Amino acid sequence: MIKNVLILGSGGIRVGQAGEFDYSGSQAIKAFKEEGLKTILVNPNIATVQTDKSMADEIYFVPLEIQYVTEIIIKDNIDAVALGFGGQTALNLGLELYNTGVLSKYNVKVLGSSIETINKTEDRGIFRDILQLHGIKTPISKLATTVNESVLYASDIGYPVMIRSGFSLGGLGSSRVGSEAELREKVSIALASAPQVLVEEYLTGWKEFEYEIIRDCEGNSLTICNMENLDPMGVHTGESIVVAPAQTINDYEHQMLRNISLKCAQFFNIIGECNIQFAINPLDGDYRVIEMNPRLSRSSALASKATGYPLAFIAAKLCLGYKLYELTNQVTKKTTAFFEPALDYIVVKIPRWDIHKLPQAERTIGTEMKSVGEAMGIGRTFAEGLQKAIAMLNIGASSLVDYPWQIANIRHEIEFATDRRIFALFEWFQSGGDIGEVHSISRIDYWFLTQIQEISLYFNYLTNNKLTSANLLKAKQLGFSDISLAKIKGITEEEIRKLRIGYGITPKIKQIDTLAGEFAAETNYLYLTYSAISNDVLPSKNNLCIIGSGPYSIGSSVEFDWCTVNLARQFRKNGKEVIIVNSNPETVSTDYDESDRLYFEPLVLERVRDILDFENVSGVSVSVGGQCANNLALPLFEAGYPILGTSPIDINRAENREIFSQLLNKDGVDQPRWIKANKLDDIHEFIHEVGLPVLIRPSYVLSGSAMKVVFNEEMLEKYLKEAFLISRDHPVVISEFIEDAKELEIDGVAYCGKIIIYSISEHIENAGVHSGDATIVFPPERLYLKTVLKSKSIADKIVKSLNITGPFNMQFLAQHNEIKVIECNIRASRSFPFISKVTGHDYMEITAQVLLNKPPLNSFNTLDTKFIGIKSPVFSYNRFKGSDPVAHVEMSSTGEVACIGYDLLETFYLSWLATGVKLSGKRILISIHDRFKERLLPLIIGLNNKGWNITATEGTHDFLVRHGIQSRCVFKVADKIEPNIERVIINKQVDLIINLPYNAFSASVDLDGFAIRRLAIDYHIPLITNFQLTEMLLESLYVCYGNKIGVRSYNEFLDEKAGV
Amino acid sequence: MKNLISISDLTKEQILDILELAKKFKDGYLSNILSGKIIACCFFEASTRTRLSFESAINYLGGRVIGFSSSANTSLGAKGESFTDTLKVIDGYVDGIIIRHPLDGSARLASDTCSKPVINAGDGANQHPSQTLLDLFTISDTQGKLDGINIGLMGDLKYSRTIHSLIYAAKFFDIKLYFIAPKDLRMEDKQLFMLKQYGIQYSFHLCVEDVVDKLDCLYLTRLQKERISGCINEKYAITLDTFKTAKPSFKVLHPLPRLRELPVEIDSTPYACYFEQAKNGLFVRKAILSTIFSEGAFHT
Repeated sequence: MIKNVLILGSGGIRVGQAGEFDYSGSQAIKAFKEEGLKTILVNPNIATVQTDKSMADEIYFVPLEIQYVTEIIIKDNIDAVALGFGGQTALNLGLELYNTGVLSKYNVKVLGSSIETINKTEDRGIFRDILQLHGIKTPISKLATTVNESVLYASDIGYPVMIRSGFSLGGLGSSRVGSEAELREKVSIALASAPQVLVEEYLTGWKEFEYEIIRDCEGNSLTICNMENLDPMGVHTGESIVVAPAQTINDYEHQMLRNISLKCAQFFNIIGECNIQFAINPLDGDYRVIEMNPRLSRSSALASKATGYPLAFIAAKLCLGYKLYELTNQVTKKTTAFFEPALDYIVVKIPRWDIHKLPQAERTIGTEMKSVGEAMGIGRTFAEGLQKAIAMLNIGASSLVDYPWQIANIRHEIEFATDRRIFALFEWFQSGGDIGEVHSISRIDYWFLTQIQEISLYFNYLTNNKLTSANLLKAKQLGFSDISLAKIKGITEEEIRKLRIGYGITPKIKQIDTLAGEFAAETNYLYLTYSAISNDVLPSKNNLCIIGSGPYSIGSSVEFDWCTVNLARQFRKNGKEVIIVNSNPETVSTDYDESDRLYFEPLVLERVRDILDFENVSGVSVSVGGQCANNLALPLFEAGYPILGTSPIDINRAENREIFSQLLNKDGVDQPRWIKANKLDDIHEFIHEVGLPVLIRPSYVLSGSAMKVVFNEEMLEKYLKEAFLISRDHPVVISEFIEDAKELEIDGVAYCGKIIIYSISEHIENAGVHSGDATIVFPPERLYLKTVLKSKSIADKIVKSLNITGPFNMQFLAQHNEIKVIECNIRASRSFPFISKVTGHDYMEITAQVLLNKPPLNSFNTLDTKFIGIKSPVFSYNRFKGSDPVAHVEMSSTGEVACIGYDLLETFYLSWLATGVKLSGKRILISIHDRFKERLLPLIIGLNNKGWNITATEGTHDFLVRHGIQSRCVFKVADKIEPNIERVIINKQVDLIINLPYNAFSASVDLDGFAIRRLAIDYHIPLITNFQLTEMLLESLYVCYGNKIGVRSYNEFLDEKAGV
Repeated sequence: MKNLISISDLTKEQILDILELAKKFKDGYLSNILSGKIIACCFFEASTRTRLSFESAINYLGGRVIGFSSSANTSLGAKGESFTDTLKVIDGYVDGIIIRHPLDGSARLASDTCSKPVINAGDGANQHPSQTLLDLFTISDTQGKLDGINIGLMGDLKYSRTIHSLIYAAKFFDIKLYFIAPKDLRMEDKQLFMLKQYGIQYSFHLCVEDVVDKLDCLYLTRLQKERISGCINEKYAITLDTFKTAKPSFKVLHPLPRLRELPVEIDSTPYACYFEQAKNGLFVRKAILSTIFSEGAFHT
């Protein structure tokens, strides 16, 4: 009998592993707890819902590494482990635990699909052999373990070929290869991170489908959903627009794929959940099985949200030995889980990319994943679903027809897909392009192309015709937003809305009931459509609405879902019916049991108003869903809806730079000097006054381009002129950039202009690194008391002036106890889950209380906490080929992890490891700018004395050996002499790379440094590029490396007495 | 292996083979492999240990020696005959040539000129491979290994060819080098570049006491009077105090002759190894000659 179960999480959010595993892990925890099992969770992703006290019984914020997990297995006497809920990270870790004998030694049972199953499906060679044995077709492929072998196979198969590396997540290390030279290069990179590479036939232009399967231990199984990629083979599923159910196969093909799927689940003895990907030849219906994942995945999260079938929850129950027919579908409460869902709507998923936020990153998409999130639109036509999903992306387009950026070469972006291919397709038809031609270059099925063409044709029709009631209805059924119609007609969104409502054209509310209305269901899963005649539900009562986070993107991730979920739980505790609006299938907030009503809808004014109008909501929270929700505050307020907490007028006072600046002046609070300029002369004058460097923020409307720090006038003029970033209508904001200043933040909750709870945290990196990319220490360890006190008193003033009620976040610069305010956000920040867990005070509980006018009466002490927390950013640079892995003023991290402990260095070290870095030995490569050499010298000497091997590039090497440090010289890539840094990295002769350019802003011109950094990323060697981080890391390596760091659960930390 | 000009001509295996053979000779192995052979010892520059140990080795191995110990009495010195002409003539009389010459690169020139094997016994500040081999032998003999050894190199890093040769050898092994020298006597760029190219781990120090605790061997060289001022000389002498923090297995090596850098009071400490080192010269040179003249190795 098992009494407890260990659940492995997926760690920090990164490309290929996003919020979907918070969803699956949270569901698994609920399912296990319901059976009376004690749940133990390992996951350093502190911003997740699953790591809340109320979720798992014991939580460990430690690296997902065998050493720590083994300790937990021993310490907590683990009976069983669940590997299927934490993505590829958990699966790989599970295999490692098995292969090293840990599981057998401590008698730990693997729940669900066995290790044998995992091995068979993950090892591509074995997988293929088994399928072939059963007469199931797989791509012609050969397993190569060396470069030469791969060349041999490729010439047999014929170019182009596809290469894939085994045991990878999100298609990393797989790509299309057109020539032998390219093959050699790519295979050598792939072999650096995986022992084997598959060379396969390239199925260009084949259509791609995915089936989600669930199977119990008796062999009962069913397909939950099938999905079709709009983009044919060659674009990763995570990069493709996906529709459910599949649209372009006939019943014969569907039944064939369904049968194969079920057979595969049987051959590999899947228990729980799996998914299978297929390629279908559009010409003759021939098929290939591409791959199979024996675990919950991004696709299963999508399938679950698309069908309303609680996949992860049921999968967890099946792992425990339940049969499908024994379980009830908790969503419908009417059917058993042994019931294949049916859909009377169409779901369209679009990936959200942020590639443009990473300087120099290649914008094309393909067989490797680059997207950071996704939005799901539900409609009754493809056009409606597609246009809704686009509106959800928050990229400036309210529908397919009003993408704000110019696409220079439409044909090129269609042929070589980029993140804006769908907009290029629309433009193609707008400019009279031929459908046959676009099919031949894109290989996208005619059915999808026809739909896009129809949108284009109707767009033209509307341009030339009156917006009659019938036309307007048709437009809405095709998914046109009010904004896009307003643009077509040259009137305001509000006028369109009035016209539309005047015509009686409003969307109807439908249930996602998993049974297409076959039985009456009690589901609270809702969507809106214009292709319906009645509502499925009546308005709710005593309700509050929370606006969720929308799709994950760089800057908005799982932390805002945590805020949404926790605020909802607190509202419900206070007896409110909670309505959540969100559009992101990778979330917990869209789970069936986290709200009383879920609207799977775009977080746009039009749609939120539709919902609020129908539900007659008594209060709307816009302060916990990140910037996307925050942006709705003022428009909703102006339209007359009741906003909870701080008045949107005051929110706007904080958001509006000029007003906020005046407010600070009035309060006598210092800020970096800035101007808004639309003439170069003004800029020169300003620079003359404050000196260089300065920070420039171009008008986003004009360029979409990023903030930049400029160091000299030449750089400035070049930047502004080349990009046409300045004009009368679009001024730029230029502000003083203060170097070598500390950065700190205050997160808090206030009530009527008075702070109820707050916490001050410090950044390890100096100012210049975006707060989302900084390593955060809470409580501050290296700040002057005076700095702390001054910051608090400034926060008091600002909170009072803005009359804040609810969450807020302020950021400060500190230099010699001089404090300057950088910004104030009147909403929950990304640090809220971190701060809540480290202080032990739930900031969302307090937020709920103040929003409901019931502020807590007690006071909170958050300065001398029992333990400290350190939060480290997680980057996905390896996914963004060509990007320069240096943190700078614009955020580029995709996620974060945090560890807690008693000692700064130890906690930092753990937190750094928890980001997923693998430090495999004591060999450091150092290549640093002169300005840092003296300062790092003592630390390097220390490590050298402790037996760390130093390798350095020539300048650094000469400096080090002169100072008595044993060092080996390597030459830079451009020197082309051996020993060359390129070979040293490729051959993994170093375990850690420290590369410090003069600063993050000069990095782009430092080609040698770029080569080192890029190689480090491509060959998976830990890399540090920031000076303060280097100091902290070297110090912690000196103290902690090789020490056994005991693991403690979160509860143990909370229970310990202070001051241990 | 036909010639021995530079340590860099050898592979790691060849080096290890020679050291193994030298160990055999040291343990009493006898051979008359040079029986019936005549070797010329052409010393264009003064030498005691190198010349005598080579000559002794040739005799032990059953061969006979001819030659000269200074260029003064040769046609080259006395009549102005060219170096290559001199070598070509000698090449006709003997089975092998051992050469020492004050000019860098002369040994390589000799080997290009001669048909018989040429052994470099030191060419200027360039190379002294037999010395390097005996140094390696002594290190290996006292430490029981060559990998994972930390060697301090102290004294005249700029001019000492024994040190330059030792650097060449270090690339074959996991040897870390600690250079201890006054600023004036640091290595030249050419040697530094070599260290970098060979991927050798090294560091510079002004004072031996800073690193002595890390060292397995300290290799000391003579500070040549004509090249340095007295005060540097004083500072770069070691004393009994130098070894306070040394490992028990620590050894001091020196190619000899010595000056004030190595005071005689060290001789009686367990660290002193330089006379042993000089004695090893005989075994190593026997091994070199045996390797070059072993059957099949030399027939042109």
